[in-house]
Amino acid sequence: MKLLFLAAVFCAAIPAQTLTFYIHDTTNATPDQALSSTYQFANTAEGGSTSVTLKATNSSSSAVFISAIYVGDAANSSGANPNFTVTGAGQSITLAPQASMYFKVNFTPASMGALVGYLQAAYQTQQNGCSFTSQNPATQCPSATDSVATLQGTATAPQLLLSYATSSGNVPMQPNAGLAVNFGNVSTSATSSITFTLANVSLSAATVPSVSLQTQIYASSAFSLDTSKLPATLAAGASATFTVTFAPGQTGLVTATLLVGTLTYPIQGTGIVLATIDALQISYVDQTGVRTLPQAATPISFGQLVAGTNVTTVLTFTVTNPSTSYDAVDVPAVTVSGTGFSLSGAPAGPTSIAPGSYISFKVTFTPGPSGNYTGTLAIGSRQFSLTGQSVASPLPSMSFQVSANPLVSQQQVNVTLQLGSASTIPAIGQLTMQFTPSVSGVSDDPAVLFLATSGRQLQVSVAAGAQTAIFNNQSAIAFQTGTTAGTITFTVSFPNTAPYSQSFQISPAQPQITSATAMRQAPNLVVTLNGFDNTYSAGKLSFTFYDTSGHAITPNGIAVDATSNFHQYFFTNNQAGGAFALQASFPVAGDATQVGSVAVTLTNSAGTASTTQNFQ
Amino acid sequence: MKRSCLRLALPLLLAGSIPAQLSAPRIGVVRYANHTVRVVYGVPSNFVIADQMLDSADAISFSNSGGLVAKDGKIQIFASGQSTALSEYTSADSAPVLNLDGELTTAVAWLPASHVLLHWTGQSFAATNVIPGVITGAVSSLRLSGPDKVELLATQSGGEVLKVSISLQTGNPISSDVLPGVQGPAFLQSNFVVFHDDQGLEIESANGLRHTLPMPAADLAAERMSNDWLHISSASTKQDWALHLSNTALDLSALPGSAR
Repeated sequence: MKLLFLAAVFCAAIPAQTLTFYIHDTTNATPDQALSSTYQFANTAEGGSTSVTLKATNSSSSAVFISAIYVGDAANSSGANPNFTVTGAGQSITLAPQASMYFKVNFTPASMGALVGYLQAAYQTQQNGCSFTSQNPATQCPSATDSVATLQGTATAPQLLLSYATSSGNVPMQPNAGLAVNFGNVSTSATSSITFTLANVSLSAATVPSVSLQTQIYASSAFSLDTSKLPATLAAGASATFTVTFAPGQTGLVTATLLVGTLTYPIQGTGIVLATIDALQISYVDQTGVRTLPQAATPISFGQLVAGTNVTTVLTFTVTNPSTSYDAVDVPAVTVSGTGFSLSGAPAGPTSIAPGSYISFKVTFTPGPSGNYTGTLAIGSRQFSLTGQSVASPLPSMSFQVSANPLVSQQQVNVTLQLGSASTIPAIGQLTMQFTPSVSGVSDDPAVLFLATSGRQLQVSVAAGAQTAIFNNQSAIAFQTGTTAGTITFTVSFPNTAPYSQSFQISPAQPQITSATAMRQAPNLVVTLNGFDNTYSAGKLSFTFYDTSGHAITPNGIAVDATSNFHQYFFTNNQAGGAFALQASFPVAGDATQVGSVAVTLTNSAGTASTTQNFQ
Repeated sequence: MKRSCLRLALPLLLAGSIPAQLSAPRIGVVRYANHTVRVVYGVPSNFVIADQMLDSADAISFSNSGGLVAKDGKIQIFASGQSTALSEYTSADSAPVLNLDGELTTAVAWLPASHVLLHWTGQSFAATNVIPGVITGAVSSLRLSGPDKVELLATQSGGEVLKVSISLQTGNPISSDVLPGVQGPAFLQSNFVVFHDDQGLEIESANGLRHTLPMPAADLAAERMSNDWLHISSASTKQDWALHLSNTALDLSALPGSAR
């Protein structure tokens, strides 16, 4: 595909010297020097690397679109050269006239001897209103590929030699060899390890290159690597070892690549059946439905969860005895060990899986405090490591502050969600309030609500850098405390954050009379009281009437026990919490206009309220 | 002598025949910005918004005895607790100003487009034509101030408020006075005039004394919820308040929103 593209590139006529290349001193100690047609790298050990930084300048008066800068294996060829790489060059970059870009060319010899590469640049030049991105030949910009320079270098003998141990001694390894290091046939219940030795055969200390495994992406690897014994540098003549372990969880051939610096070494192994249990095919499905065939060498990851969020990771495992098996497979037990991991749905005790049959179960990771968690899943002798991580919430610690504390009934109060420090992220969450009455037999008070929504839930947001949450651009969120003793609990939930709750008590209190009237409605005296009783226990009333001169009218203190009235009101189809409107009517046979006022007391379990009203 | 009379009466009270009738305390009726009409129960600072009473109204005014409702070109009068209108008056006016602050016979409405004062006689609506030009400016509040007299507050172009008395018999003006220091729109409530200025919500009594309540919004509108309660609302801040105002009460509380 690239060759086709380059062939098309050559068809267009481009003026020479559109791009000019310079050798750039990254320390700026010396000025840039024009890159000659040949560049000679310093001698470099096989497996090592030497680099030069180049600058490409658009010398034309038109914009230039650089599609690629690369090192070919022959002049005018885009075939990859294994001994050179280009890094830091922005692909598909547009340079304005006289603009420049920097990139690095690396000499990374994979074999010894004199080596050659061909540095080339493919680009388009904007002329006559053409378009860089056009697919229409009529409006496409003319393109070209320039041969920038011929790169030369000599690879010397490697400083570091890699070998691996066998029963007959250490075997030297050749990079990029066609023959893989073979871990052999290994039972799916077993492991096989090979120890590799990295020896510095030069006369000076050498930096130990990075060692890694290249495996199939998005799949569990049957190989694992232990480089814990590798130092950062190796003294002259010194050596160090690392280990690769082959632990297949599935049958069949598995390949991978061992990377030592820039050098590659193929490795392979084969999972086989030795015992009947080895034949079991084990797989798991995560919560998104992705199915994975686990290999014993790679821990089964339950991912990263936020501590305290009550979010779990559940993997559903299926253990199948292939229909090609001759015998049922006996599984002594399925067990899961390790803090944070739990097993559910597995057969209790030993079980036998007939050919073509399967068992399934779930393994759940429930994160505790922040940290790394490990465990083990054992299906008989088949063992798999489990890992999970619990991390702290990305939001700072939270607390609720109310504008009146302690809370009492019949208040409109503001609540503010305060963060322990400025949030580093923006977040949107749900703020809810819950009311739990302390009055026996009462389940709720409809007046406990956020004023803005007439409900108990609203959406709050936290801006990056803010230390409070806001609703409608206000950090103070107003709510009503109702008229029932109990507990108001605020809970805020942000994604990836443990819900935070805080409770505020509303204590039982004596009745409150918020308004009262005394009316003469011949032949009655009518007394009305509006108020609330947050204990729902009011009942005892006392009325003392006074004449217009202020003298008490005999008998003093007419007691009325309205306990049953209040009880029936509070506990039957209650729509107003502890709020009530009471009307008491007193028939008068005489001249009611001579009654001037009335003193009323109302008592509940917490105390007594009183009011005096003049008759109107 | 007086006491002896009462001694004769009061023994009736001792017989235990005093029924204590209990009910949810009713604040009044509110019309929210979405035009839904709801009954409000509770005590100050503690309101419970009941289910919808009317799905829509263009203007309302409720007292403890009933309510006036303007909707779809009709003005209806309801007795308290009744869902069927006692009567209705058809009017093309799109923005009538209503008031009902006591018995149903206190019901009065100003129809600005037709220059008509409407009142409820107890049996029917009666319309009084007012000569155009007698009432200048936008009427924000009115009330029946006597058997045949209506007071109106009208905001003039400069913001000052004119208090005009009109005879219901003739439609002629009886008096017209500028309310000094009062900025429109202003509202009549009990013996007070309620309006907003730079200080907040001003409550001016008949003797000129003022009480100021902090109020963040300036674009205030008022509708009567009941005898002693006004619904104050701001379209710009989308907030609602309930003002409890009488000779013995002055209290301003936020009213729960209409998002139900």
